[in-house]
Amino acid sequence: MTRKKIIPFVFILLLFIPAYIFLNRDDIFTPAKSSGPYEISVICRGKSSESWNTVKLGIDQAAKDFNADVSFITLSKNNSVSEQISLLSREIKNGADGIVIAPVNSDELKKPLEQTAKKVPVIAMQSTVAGMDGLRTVSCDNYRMGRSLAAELVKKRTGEPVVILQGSTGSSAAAESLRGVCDGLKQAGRAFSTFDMPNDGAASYQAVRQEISKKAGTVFVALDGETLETAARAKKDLGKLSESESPLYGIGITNTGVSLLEEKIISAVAVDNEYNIGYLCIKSAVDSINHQDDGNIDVDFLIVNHSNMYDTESEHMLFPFVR
Amino acid sequence: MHERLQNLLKKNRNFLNRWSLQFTIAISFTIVSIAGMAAIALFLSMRYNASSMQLVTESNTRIVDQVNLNLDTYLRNMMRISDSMYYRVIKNTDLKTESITEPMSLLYETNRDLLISLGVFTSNGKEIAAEPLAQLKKSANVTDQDWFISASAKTENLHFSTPHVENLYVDPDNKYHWVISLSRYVELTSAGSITHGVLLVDMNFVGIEQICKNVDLGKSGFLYIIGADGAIIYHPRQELIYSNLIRENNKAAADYEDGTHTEQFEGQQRLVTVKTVGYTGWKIVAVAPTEEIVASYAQFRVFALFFACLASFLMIFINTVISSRLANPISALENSVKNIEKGDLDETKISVGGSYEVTHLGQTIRSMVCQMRKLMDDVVLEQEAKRKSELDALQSQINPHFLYNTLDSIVWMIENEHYQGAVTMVTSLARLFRISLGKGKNIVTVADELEHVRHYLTIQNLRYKNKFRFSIEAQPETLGCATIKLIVQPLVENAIYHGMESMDSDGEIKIRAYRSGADLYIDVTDNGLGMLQEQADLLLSDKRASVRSKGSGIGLKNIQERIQLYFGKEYGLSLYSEPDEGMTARIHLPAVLWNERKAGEK
Repeated sequence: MTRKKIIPFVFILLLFIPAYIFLNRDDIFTPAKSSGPYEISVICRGKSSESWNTVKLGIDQAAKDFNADVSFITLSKNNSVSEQISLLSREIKNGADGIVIAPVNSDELKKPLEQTAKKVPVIAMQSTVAGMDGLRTVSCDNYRMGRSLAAELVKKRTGEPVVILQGSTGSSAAAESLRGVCDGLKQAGRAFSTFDMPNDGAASYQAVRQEISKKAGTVFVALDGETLETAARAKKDLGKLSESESPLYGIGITNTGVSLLEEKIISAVAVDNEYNIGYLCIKSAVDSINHQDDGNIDVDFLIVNHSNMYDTESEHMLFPFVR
Repeated sequence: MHERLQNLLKKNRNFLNRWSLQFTIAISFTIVSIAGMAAIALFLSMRYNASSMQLVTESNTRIVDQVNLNLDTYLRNMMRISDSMYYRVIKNTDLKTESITEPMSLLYETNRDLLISLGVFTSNGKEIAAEPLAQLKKSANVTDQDWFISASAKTENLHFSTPHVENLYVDPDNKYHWVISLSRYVELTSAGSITHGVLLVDMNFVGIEQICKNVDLGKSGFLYIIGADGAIIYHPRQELIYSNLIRENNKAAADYEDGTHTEQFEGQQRLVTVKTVGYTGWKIVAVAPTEEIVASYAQFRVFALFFACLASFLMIFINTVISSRLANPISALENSVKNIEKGDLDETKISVGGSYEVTHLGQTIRSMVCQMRKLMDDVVLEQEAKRKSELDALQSQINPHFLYNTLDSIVWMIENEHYQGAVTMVTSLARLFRISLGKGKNIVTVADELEHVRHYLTIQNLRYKNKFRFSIEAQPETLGCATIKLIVQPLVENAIYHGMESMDSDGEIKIRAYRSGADLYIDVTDNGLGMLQEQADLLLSDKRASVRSKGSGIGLKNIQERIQLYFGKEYGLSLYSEPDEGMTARIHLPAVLWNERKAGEK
């Protein structure tokens, strides 16, 4: 065997050494995991983190599952567009890989959101900004939820006038829900009016209490959990402990709201799966960071009353299984 | 079939024959070694796969057994609490006169880490006592609760519910608790009479979670617990299942027997180990995705493949080296043989080297070439001898004495006007030369040779004035046989010069050609002085090789050599003689037809 023939052999033999070193790496055979951690900022619409508890549980679970480092930010003032705008730029500056936002339904927010979306993925949680295209949303069908609640109301309450209590949520979700309730009531030929709730908590309580006491034999509909809880407390405080006295319907629920539902102070409530919304927002954000398009995600909702609230499905939605 | 197999083998052999020896050896050894390596790698990887599965199965079984033991202990604790409450408190209390609240409170406080609440209810759902919260919710409908229905339906058993939200008591903090309810049918004593009721122990779900959550089943493995109907009791991702974000194969697992099973769920193959928890009928299910097991198997497989490749590569290298060491000397030898074919008989150029056998072969070829060269030298010498003898024979035709004497005789005859004799002599001389020079052939027919001799004798007879007689006889079958040109005439010449010269007119020369079997004989017999046989023998021996007769100048030895050069050693010339009796010179040749010989030569 000539040296000319031996050299290629030796050369190939030497190639086995880097191949062995390459194969000996630990990460070669472990299934490819999503990289990370992903810095994701969640910007709420309100100042109370309590009302976001269930959403946050879903967010925390998703953060664990998808290796995300989540900053959960509440506002100093409910529905503050300017604060949301400044938070958007601050979080981007701080190196967020993705933004999950429960946007205030305001035109002012459109441009900052569009600019942010050019830099990092932006996911709208529970609601969106009306007229803004291309913003991925994780939410239930708020219009359909409103119509379902109206249908429940119409089924149980015949002929009573309806007052819709409008909190200052400023979200597209509330607007859509309102549209759904109104359309449902209109379709059923039911007369209804709206009552604007003050922003301040104490004032809001007094206003609704006054309204309830003033309008006996009226059905009240609250379009968000906090308004519903306020109205229910006011009703309870007025001694209207039966379901038939100033029946109260609503969308969204707090822990106290659940007790009030069980006490029949609240007749029925439409609840969306907030745990799923929180979880899917983070999943969608991580997918977007990894250039996977999940599109808009529609989560389910349920109409719950005191008789079905401990049914398996309602139980799972009202009482997140958290240890 | 057998024939087809043989044909196939033959084809393969032919196919292999087309390749060089080195390539055949290298490729054969390489194929065999790679096949061996592949078989070993395959066998090892299969064994590794099987043993990995076995290890995971055994490990999961051990873990599940341990969890089962812990869970069983936990549930038995719960049952002991229920038993204590029933047998030590309720059974010993007449509710009419005594309260069970205090001992119940004591029992709750003792086990408060494990419990959410304790409660005793009458058969119509009325609360008798409860801890720690005592106020029932207005909406609480005890008799409609699953745990109450189960306890009332099967009075002899303890019943474990699936996880649910405890919804009986008013909690001022609006907290809710996920619990597992242990309920049992109890007998209540009130004013000496026995009534029925239900004892409820709401277990804190955290207790079960703590048993299960720290179980290590690998990176992706996990463990969950299901009820007898498949409902999930514990799952590490229970909320995700409750929220329909993920699913679990719990309904199918409910039908599994205890042991290890393989299942396919949502495109994932999983190794599932199941163990039924005593009394409750719950099942502990340990799940290990085979992907994770296979990941280490894949690592092993790749390494097995890597080392098989490395070993195969080394084998190829070694095979190439060995085959080249084997084949190169043979190849060099082949080139040497090619050179020999081309005529290069230099034995020093023949390659001798390599293995013992090839070295020996080279040496043998070298020796063979030596031999061949010697033989060729011999042939050259033989050919030279032939040419020399032929030259000698030719020279006899221009023997100046013979020519001079013949021409002198012709002149003499013409001068004496003996024209007829002169014509005859000239004619014979002319024919003599024509035959002897004719076409340069060395092999002629016996007829031509005898004709030549006849003319020679005619000339000599005229010269010697009929001092002798001659006769030529030939069997007809000998006439077409082949003989060497000019071998009879020198014998006749000898007979004339040695036998006839001293005789007056009674000399006689007889020439006879005859066949005996496959042999041809031509005898030249004279009745001259003759000689002793010993002397005659000496004429043909080497000692007289250079002896020449004084007549034609061509020795008998020359005839002998020429015959043997053309026909072999077994043929030749022999002399038979006795003093005063004359001599017979016998030519011994093979009886081969001239035509056949010519055809053979062509």
